[in-house]
Amino acid sequence: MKILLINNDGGGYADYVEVPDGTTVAQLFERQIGSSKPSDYLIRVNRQPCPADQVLQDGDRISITPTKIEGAAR
Amino acid sequence: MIVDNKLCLRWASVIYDHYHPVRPMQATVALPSPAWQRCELLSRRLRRVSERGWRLAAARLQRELRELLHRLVMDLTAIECQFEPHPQERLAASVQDIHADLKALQQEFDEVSLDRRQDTISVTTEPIELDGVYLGNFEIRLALHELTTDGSRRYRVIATDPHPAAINESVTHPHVQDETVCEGDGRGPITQALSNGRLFDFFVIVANLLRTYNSGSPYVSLEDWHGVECSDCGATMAADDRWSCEKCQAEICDGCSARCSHCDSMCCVGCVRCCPGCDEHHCCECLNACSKCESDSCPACLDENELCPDCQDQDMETNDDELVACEIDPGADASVQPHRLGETVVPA
Repeated sequence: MKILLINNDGGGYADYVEVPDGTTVAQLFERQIGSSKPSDYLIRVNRQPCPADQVLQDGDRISITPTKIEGAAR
Repeated sequence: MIVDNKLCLRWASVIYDHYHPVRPMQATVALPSPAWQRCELLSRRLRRVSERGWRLAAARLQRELRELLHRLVMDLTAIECQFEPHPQERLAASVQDIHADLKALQQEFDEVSLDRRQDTISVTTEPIELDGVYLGNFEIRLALHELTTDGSRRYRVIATDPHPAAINESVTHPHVQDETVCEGDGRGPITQALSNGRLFDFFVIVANLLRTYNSGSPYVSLEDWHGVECSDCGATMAADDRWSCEKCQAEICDGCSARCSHCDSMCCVGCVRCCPGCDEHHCCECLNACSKCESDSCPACLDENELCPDCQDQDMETNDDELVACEIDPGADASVQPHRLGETVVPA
């Protein structure tokens, strides 16, 4: 199935990606972000908060946004 | 502010139009009608020759029709390409996406404001406190008329309950100056979110940036947010203008500091004195008392007998007086006796 994945960690990549049926939010997070803690990220499915074991559906929109984003002075 | 569904839809449509400006439509499209008509003609002739059993003619017509159909497909593909959306528009948000973003923003932030007159959309964060320093609420205001798919941005970050840095009122947040946020690590995601029309992501990223302190690159560090008072004059000073007295460790401003001319240490006004001999500043440790009058003088002004310049002058005057006295009254040395006026003293 195809989902829209928005990874706001780093460059802000967003694109439609293929994932196996039955993929959960936690599995997708691990595949995309790796060893980082999910608590350091704001994860939304179709713009709504979601449990880690939520199974993704075809056409879902998943955004992963770090809770800590460092600004600068110049 | 809770925005009703109808207003949300209207705004979504307005925002969508900003991202998809109406382009001049192609007035005419040159369809390959002659080629199609030729295909129809060949098809009819092929049917006729097949009915009559002319196999060689049928084979030739089939080959000709196949080549013509191939060219027709290529022509039609080229025409189809003229109607393809621009690559940058592929991920651009639809009216439904923007509408969903506006609804989600109302769940994410306490205050969402849509201002048709100023053509802006804004959200207000909760009061932000970083490392114990209270900074207040911030309004993130996005001007819609500046939205483009190239990711250029026009948004302001306004402190609605400002608690600016003591040394610079234009700095309302360690990473915000003159209502402009320096995006740092957020630059890429913010650019992408704005260019794709993902308003929900844009506001969430900027809000998370405001909730984060990067001690490595602030306009004003949180450590110096409230400023430091000069212990001499009481003025509020920035970290860069601050000195610490090397003798008593008092925090002093640039104007209240003085450097010892002998040991080069930076001191506060209370820890330096002027040497009366050279009028230069010297720290207490470098000044020594004159062995005669006990006034403080710098090492360069004291002589080998630890006398200050004044005492040295006095001594010289005394010595000169004594010498003059000797010349006037040569004393009891009988071996040196002038005999008469005009004669000089000659040792015996």
